[in-house]
Amino acid sequence: MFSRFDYYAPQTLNDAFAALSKNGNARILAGGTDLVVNIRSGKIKPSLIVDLKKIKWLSGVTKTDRGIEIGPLTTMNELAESSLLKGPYSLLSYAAKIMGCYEIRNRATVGGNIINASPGAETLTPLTVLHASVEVSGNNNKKLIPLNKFVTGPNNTVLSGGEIVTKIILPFYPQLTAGYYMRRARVKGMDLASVNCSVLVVNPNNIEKCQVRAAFGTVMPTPYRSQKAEEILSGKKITLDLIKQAASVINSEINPRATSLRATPEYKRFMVEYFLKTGLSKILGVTF
Amino acid sequence: MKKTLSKNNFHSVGNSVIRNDVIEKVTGTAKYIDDYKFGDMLYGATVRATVPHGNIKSFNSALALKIDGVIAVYTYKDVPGKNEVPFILNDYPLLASDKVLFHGQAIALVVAKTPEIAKFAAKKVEVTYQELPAINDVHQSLKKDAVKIFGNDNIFKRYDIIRGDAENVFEKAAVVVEGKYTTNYQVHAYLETQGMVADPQPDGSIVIYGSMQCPFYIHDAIVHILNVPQNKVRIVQTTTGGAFGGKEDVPSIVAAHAALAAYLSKKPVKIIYSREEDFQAMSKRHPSYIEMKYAADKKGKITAAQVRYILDGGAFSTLSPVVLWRGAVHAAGPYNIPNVKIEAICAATNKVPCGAFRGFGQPQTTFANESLIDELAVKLNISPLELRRINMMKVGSRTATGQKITRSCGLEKVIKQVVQKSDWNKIYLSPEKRTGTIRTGIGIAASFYGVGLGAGGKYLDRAGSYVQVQKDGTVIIAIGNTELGQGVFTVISQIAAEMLGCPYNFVRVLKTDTTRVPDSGPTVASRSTLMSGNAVRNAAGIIRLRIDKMVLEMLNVKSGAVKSNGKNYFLSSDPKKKVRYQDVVKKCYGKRINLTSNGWYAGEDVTFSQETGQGNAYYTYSYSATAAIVKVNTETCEVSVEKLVSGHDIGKALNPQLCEGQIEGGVIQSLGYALTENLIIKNGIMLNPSFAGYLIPTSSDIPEIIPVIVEEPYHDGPFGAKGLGEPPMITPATAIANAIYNATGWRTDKLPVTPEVLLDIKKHLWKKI
Repeated sequence: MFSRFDYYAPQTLNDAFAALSKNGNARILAGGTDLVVNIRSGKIKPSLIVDLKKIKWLSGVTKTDRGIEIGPLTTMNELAESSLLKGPYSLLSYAAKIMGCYEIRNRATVGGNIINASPGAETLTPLTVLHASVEVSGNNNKKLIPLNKFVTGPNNTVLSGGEIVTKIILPFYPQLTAGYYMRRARVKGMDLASVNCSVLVVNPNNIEKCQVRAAFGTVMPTPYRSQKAEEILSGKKITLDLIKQAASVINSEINPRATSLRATPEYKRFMVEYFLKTGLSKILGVTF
Repeated sequence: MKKTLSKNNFHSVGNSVIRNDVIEKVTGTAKYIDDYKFGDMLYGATVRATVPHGNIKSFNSALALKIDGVIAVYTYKDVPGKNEVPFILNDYPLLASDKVLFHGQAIALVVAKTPEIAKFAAKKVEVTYQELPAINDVHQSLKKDAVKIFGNDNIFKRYDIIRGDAENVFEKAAVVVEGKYTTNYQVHAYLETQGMVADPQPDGSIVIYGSMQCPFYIHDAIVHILNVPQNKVRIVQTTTGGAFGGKEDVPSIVAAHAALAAYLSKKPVKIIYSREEDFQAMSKRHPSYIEMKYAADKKGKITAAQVRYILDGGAFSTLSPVVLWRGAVHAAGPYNIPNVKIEAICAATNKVPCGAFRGFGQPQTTFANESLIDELAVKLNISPLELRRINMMKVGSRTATGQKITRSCGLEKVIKQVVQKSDWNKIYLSPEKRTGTIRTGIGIAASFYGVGLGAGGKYLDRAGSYVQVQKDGTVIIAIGNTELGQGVFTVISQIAAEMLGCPYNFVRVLKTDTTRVPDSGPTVASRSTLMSGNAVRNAAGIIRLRIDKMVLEMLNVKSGAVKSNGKNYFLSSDPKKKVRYQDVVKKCYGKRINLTSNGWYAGEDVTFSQETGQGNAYYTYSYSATAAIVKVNTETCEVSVEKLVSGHDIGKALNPQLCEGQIEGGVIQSLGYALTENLIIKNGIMLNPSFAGYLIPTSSDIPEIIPVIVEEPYHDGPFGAKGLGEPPMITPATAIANAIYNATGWRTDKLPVTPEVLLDIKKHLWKKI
């Protein structure tokens, strides 16, 4: 059942800030695919909804001096179809493409996905390995926060009440850098990821400069990267033995919660090696 | 009907006519219960228990009553009749009085001017409990020192079926296999949640509208609870958005809640459940625990079967005793086995009460017996097909209850066609020979299914009908069974058209209403085509005699057989002598001949005795087998079902397309049961009461489905028909489990087979190596 709330759709960011500063119990509406569900279930009871959809410049993917800039209101389907999210960034558009169902992808936004910060959120692990930063705007200020510092826990970020995410920025990568997104879902159609993983290999053709990044979703409260495991795999010729070593390091570091209904901790742990192996094999075009 | 039956003899039955409710359903104009509105209508919401087991210490509705728009809060004290929902054992209180036995049990009803206010106020009713230790599973329930929540042993019902001397045979048998199997809950997942409107009338009577399978069950429940005479109650079924057994027993609760509130407030009251509420409080398929043993000689002839079959009934018994019975009498499988010992128990736990669900206990026992048959084949080193061929039921076989199958047994044909259409012989390889990461496997499971209620509900196995030919030749029909999406109104129309000799689209079946025909029993047990079909055949046959007489008169002949092609009547001996259907009807009206009749049908008698566990359990059986082809990823343990070939001997397909639809729907439901549908109740609390947490197959998960229909006519069925509603749900899950074994050598003893379950088996096998 819906509790009563006021609805406001400002035309400008300043109007949005003004509305947010007046009401301490306001929530921002982007696509609404999490917000509306949470209101319906009674999990949150906002007294004001500030709908950002009329501020058009908050959506879209552009290329600037800073890198690839993604507006927070860009929908999953827009991410999936963006001509700029190719090559090194293609794992992000692929993750967006398999999220939810077509109707949800028409609504759900990338900003909403990272702010909701579900441990299995489809865009979080790709953005993590891509070293995305989040531009947070307040009433009079603007700051750039690395994504791994932005997300602090399940459904938690550093974002405070009066702030709005205004950009997600991806750095440029050398040619041939490639990534791969993988997930396990219980049905082939619409489901949340039970466990997911993004692997990115920067400079795959230069063994010495080759850098492997891997982020895992749902194994820890926020997307998990193991520095030690990535070191094992980076800068050398990758073998099955190294993958097994890296997986074992990751498994010693993670602690999947036992209460998840979507996959058991044992299954998630088992999938670590599989994801690493499959991801690296797809990216490098070799069989391990 | 004779075996020479061919559909060419008929103008209506046997054709895949377009179902008569399709336009309204596809265009969205069909009126479901939430579309019904009455002046001054109020809305009900239910106050539910928040603990799995406890004594109610205090109840306070003062806060709720202060809320603007709240009309009343009703409790068990307000029930004018008996505060119990009449099922079989009558242990289920309509509203809890002093204690609650499951999380979600109804305690009180809030009636308000809007549904939002009613739901809000229901949360403001304060109930405190003295919590008691809860029983979480059947093993705990059956322990001697367990807390007692039903009777003095927590057993709702027990059956023993003993034929021959199984124990002695097992001692001396050449080969014995045994297994222990568990299956989880299944949720009906009908699109339309439970909902009812009760509309009190000025004359003191009450009309109930709603989404339901069994208007006569609800009729009895309202009489019982309101303490009013039978003729003061009228139940009308509204277009029902899916049922699958979930609208069989529990709608009596929803209807009685609405009726109570309407009776007391003297205003129409609507109650519509949210999806979460529906998950938490409505019935489910019973989880089961089954121990099973087969003995065989070296050639593969099965000599004995032993089954210990335990169902988790939940907090109240509802229809558990009959669900248990159906599963029990079929538990040994569709095989001719001389020595059988079946012990069946349904135990109480502090969880949501389980009840009717398509298959009615048989998907559970089939998982045990058909998995174990495959194990037996491995041990005997013969193919799973050959083992089934050696032992399968044929005319002359006897069931576990000693019933001799005397006719209409198409199992052999079904298996043959399923094997052929699944390319079994090309695909089958023993698991050791399969290699690679992604492995293909093929598996089969077979079953038989007693059509109708049989001895489980003997006195209910009858049905009435009312058929009226209008002046223009169109026809109005009332039956006691309900349209649930299975297409029975279409099939009934085809039968009536065939009997009367009119076009199919001249027939209209009225919404089922308990004041039109006598109690015709429930719309369950795949019985509607057989029961109501025969009742309509009876009524229309009476009218047809009068019509035929008029036809002869109009053709100026003294005697002769009259036939119809659906447009004209003609003489069998001289087809050129014909007269138009509408002209005959007009003539009958002109001559004041009554073209209206009631019809009646009672099923053949059955002889099963509860004391001996022996006798004829049902008057006829449908037979089925499904072959599944799967691909298993041996690394991630994920299963993809590629093809399901499901064959059914149903006597006669009165509408082949509808039959195929039934098969496809049941197969998909069984696919979910096999792989993804996994309801989790922990310490009495349901953890995933939503479609985001409880996963039914999506359209992307549906494999190629090949429905196969075999017709071995049943002499007493309408045009030879038996029943088909439930069998498609019974075998596919086990066929999938057997196919997984065939692909990988991994034998699951539990459903659903999630990747986690397979990973456990895989790790276990690695340890052994």
